[in-house]
Amino acid sequence: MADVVVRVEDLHKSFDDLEVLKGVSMEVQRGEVVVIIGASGSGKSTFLKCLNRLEEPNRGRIFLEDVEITGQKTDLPKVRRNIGMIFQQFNLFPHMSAIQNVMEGPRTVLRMSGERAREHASQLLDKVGLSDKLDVKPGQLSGGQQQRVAIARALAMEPKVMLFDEVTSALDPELVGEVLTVMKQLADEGMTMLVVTHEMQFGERVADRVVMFDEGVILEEGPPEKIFQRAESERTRRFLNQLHWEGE
Amino acid sequence: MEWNFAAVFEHLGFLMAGAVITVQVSILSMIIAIVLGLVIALVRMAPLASLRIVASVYIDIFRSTPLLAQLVWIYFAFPILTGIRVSPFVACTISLSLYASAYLAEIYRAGILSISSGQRHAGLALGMTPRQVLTRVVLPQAVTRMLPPMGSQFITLFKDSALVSLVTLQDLMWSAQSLAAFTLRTVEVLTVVAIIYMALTIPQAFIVNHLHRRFGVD
Ligand SMILES: Nc1ncnc2c1ncn2[C@@H]1O[C@H](COP(=O)(O)OP(=O)(O)OP(=O)(O)O)[C@@H](O)[C@H]1O
Ligand SMILES: [Mg+2]
Repeated sequence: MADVVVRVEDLHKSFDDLEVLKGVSMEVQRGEVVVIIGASGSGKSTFLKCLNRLEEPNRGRIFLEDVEITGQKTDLPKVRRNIGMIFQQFNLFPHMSAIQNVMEGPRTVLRMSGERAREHASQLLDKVGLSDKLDVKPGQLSGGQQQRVAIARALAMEPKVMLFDEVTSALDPELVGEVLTVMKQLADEGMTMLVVTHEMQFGERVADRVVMFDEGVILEEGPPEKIFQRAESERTRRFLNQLHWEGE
Repeated sequence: MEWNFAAVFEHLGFLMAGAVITVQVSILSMIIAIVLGLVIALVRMAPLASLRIVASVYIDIFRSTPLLAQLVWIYFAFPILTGIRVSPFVACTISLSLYASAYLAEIYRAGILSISSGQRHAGLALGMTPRQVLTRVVLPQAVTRMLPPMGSQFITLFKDSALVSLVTLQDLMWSAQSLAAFTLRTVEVLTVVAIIYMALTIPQAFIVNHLHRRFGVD
């Protein structure tokens, strides 16, 4: 029996007159890694933000483990603790040390005791390779280190699914690898992940499925070998070609 | 004319008693304004448009009319309209508090808005309520940015408080005017009083400069 973590039905989102999502439907299985690609402005970020309702969809329904989260009466904070989100700009809390950033969710949202939260947080920072940076403020960390703290911060809530929005795009090229390594590790451990990225090698190695967004709709989707080597759509092939040239 | 400070120094104690009132009314007003200003700033950013309008009308009224007019209005007109009489000290404290709270509300708002939406999103995405995002994420960062302009605002309030002498609160300026009338040494008295104001303000300016260096964002 299929174990669906996220189900999206006919999602629409507009900003004033600009229709950004024009009916997107998707199902994500537990443990699945879905990589989302597509041109700038095609609605990838908006789609992720609708999933935890940082943006309000105009139409359509979203289910998290069969519970609808698009209703008016949805308890948003409660829904969001189950959905981890990692941002392009890290968005660590600059007034807190690395470990305080990771403890913040469990402490404030889950009301966990300080002792337990600290122990859990230091395990997570160890897992992302930052056990020597516990008490360092984000301003003193490299971009790659900050992004790994951000991943640990999201993991601390033990989310059912994690959303990654171009999390390596703001990094110097030599720091991209350390973040992708952590993400690969999470994927191997069975985390359910939706990953917007331009890192096609990551897509090839880690994705179970690649979804191509184009102008607010899903243009095509399939296993990475198919999308990357034998895409049906001319637009997908052109998009991948461009990336390739930019990457060289 | 000849300078003669003897009469002034003879009554220095009288001036100092006035200075104590000045310090008291300024500090008390600032404390009230710090709290009231935050409330107004939050209402100014409330989800409900009608609330936002109320707060912005409040801010506009108190920032666009002279403090003296507000003071006179609260001390003379308000009791006539309501039948509630208050002492000069209370009236002046209320007046200065309301006036400063309008400016502080805008300082708070600017500080809060200066925190990026990414920070808010990060807090919300963890499952925080909007209130938790405010108290755990936004305010701790905004406060350091607010401190320098708040300090400047306090210095302004301190100097503006001289106006309370006009509604007979016996502050430093009122004492100066009484002593000038009594000794007929107006220039000497006001010279000494200006020095007392300076002596009280310069340490404040020093602290504000320090805050700017420590927390200022350009
Ligand atoms: N808050 C907003 N208000 C108005 N328009 C917005 C807003 N957020 C996004 N948009 C617009 O919606 C469209 C889709 O934006 P979105 O960020 O989802 O694209 P994207 O696929 O993530 O692009 P990129 O690869 O550049 O990140 C863009 O045209 C963008 O300008
Ligand atoms: Mg985007």
